[in-house]
Amino acid sequence: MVIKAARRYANAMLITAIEQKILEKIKDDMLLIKQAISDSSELSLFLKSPIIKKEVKKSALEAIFEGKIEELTSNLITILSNKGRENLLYGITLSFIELYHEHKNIIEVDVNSAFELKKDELASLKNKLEDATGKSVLLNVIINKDLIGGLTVRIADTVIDGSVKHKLNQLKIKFTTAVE
Amino acid sequence: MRTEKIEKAKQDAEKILVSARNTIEQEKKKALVELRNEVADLAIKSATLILNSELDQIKNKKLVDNFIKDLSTHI
Repeated sequence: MVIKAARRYANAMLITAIEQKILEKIKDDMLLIKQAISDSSELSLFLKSPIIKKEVKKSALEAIFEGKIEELTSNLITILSNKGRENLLYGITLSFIELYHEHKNIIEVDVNSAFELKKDELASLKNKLEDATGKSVLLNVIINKDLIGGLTVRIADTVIDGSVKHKLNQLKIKFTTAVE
Repeated sequence: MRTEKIEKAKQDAEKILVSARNTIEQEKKKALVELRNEVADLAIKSATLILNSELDQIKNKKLVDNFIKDLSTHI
């Protein structure tokens, strides 16, 4: 759940990035920051900690991201640091990516597959999803052996379950609820 | 007086029989449900075991291809 303030910052970042024609670069910055925070629980706790002074947080963030991010993104970090709102940073990156996808008409689709999917399978899955949704599709594929076979696809709140595990579960329900 | 007693005893016996029959019927149903659940569980467990060892990348490809083919009907 992204808080409203984070969404406001993200929206401002998106608009400014479009105006300055650096949208793709800012998107990469946001992905970098998101990845850095989600990969390190220490960094995440550090940013959230009310005990650590904002100056310390500011210099830490500068040390981590200096030279790796655009000026606009640096400015965002400075503003957040000055206001003592570094804890919003992660939410801003999430919200920005969401807004970026909306802007670019992209939807993220989570795919769980029992076996690794080959390039041609991924391509035809992507094509089919793009035809059906009318959007550019970004596939997040996770291998899940528990599915036994087949795959599941999640688009927003809709899950389409084509896994063998699901079929077996359905079969079990059929067996146990069979009329006498 | 005696006939009344006999009649009452008959009625009581009938009640006990009816209730016993009901209990038996319920227990039978319960046992059947339990048995059915157990058989279903066993069947699914066996199927899972077989599928786990038999389902390989090649067989899976068919599942994946069919899923992709039918995808548009689900969206």
